[in-house]
Amino acid sequence: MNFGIWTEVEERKPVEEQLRESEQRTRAFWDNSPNLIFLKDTKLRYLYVNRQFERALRIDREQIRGKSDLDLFAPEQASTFQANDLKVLEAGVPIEFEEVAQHEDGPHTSIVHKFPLLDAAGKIYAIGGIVTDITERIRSREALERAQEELERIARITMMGELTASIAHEISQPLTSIVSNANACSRMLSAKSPDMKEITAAVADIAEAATHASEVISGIRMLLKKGVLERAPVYLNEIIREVLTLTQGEILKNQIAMQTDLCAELLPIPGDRVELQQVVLNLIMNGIEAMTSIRNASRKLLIRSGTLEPDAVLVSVQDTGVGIDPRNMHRIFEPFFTSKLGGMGMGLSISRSIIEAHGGRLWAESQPNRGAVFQFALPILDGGAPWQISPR
Amino acid sequence: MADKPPLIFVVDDEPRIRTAVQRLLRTVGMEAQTFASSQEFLRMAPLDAPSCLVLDVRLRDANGLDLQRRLSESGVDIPIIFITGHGDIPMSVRAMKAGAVEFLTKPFSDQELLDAIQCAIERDRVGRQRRSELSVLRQQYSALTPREREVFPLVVSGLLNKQIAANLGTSEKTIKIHRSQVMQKMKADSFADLVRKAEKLQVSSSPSPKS
Repeated sequence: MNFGIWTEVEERKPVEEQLRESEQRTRAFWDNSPNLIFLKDTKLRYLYVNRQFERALRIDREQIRGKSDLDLFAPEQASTFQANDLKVLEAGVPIEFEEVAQHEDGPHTSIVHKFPLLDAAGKIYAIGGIVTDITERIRSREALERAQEELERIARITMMGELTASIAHEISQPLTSIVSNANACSRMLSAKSPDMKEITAAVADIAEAATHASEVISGIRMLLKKGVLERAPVYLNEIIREVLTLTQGEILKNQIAMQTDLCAELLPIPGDRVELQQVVLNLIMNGIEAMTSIRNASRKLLIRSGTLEPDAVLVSVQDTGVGIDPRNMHRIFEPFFTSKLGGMGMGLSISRSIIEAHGGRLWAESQPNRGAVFQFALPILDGGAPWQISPR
Repeated sequence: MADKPPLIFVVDDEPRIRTAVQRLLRTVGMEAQTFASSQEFLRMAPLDAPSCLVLDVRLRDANGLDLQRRLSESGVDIPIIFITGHGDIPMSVRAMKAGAVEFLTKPFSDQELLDAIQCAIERDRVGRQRRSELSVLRQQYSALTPREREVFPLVVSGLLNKQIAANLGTSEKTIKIHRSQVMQKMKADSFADLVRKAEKLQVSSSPSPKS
């Protein structure tokens, strides 16, 4: 190492002393670094490690010298490290890797910056590595995400609860009038001389209250539709890619093999981008959740897009999860039906209502223990008039 | 007692429900008087007639439970049937603890409502009877002389005339006269009847009678 500022001072000292001091300085930087630092030869044997490295593995650096990763780590970890080392040797340039290594206190995830060391002739004689431990960062980020998820879940349930209470109240008023009037009618009709005038009035009141109840319901429906329906060209492939980015963390966390098969010539459909995003997100999250309990088989999620007939597009989400119990098959799209612990049973029913509001269709197929496929089809055009789909 | 037909008060801010309940009650020969708010009810309802109250929990101007509390604070002992579109358990518990007859969730069936009203009217009748009986008894009691009021509790505690005489330091003969006066003024036709009346009036023997 050469630290320019000091060169002038050093020139007055004997060469040996200069070398010794230089050596000490380098060592001081190495050993005070919070990062793990190592040096390997081209045969991938350790030449040198810093104090932080010794601490992490609880092993003396003299014992590490000359050993390879295969001597220090589990075989699959060691072979990953060595494969990365070889990439650096081949490329001849620094490369950054994310590696998981078993330390004395458990597995650590790190960003490892690996770089080649060149001799005077420009030949690689060693590999250096600087390891930045990001385990804690990942852990706190995951904890934060979990807390946010929980908060959102509670907010959704609270909102549903309040909504349900107000719907119940608004509907129960006209229903009370209807029930009481109907009961009064049947009592009056069984009298010896029924009071036709009063009966007519009661029946008119029943009709009026029923009309009011249906107005309340359509009002709620409008409320949930958040007013005017947005209709703009939507590219479903884009939506799928966006959602996959959003769910990247979940996919990695659950060790799921993602596969996409997206039709490149997919036509845009008229729709509400946010709503359709919600549908795709629901289907992917459902797929992931269906696979979390799968232990000794592969966890694969396949997302496909394509053209269905001449005037519709099709998106399918296929998982290798637990599948759908045939007894529940007809109920999964019902509101408040759920087979998941802590689930609210709204995801699929909302998804279906969104797809149907777009003039499309959402359905499921499943074989028990062999996964499920959820797919939806959406029309490209509606009666020849692009971007105009009536909501009902 | 005069057998006036009971009057049902209905307080609900929803006109549809007032009309429907009133119509339903008419089919079984009951007269209902309706009010749109608790204020209107407090201002106009003839609270001295035999009656019961069908009360919506959520009123525009007040909470039905508050009206219940105000009525009981001002000594109006009217049986209440609550009706609600969004009844929760804590609310119904509060209402029932405060003496409500029934807590019905809308929409209720005619039978539920009529049963509750029947029960409320019965409760009102019993309450009224008890109150008027008590006022008669109080009147009779007020006609007793101070000496007779001393003798009364001792008689109903089961003491013999001789023992009472010893207690009050007088003769057995005098006590015998007092006893028959008490029986007569209290319109008791037997000793057991006198004891019952004493219980209703909460007359009991003084803690330390003179020896």
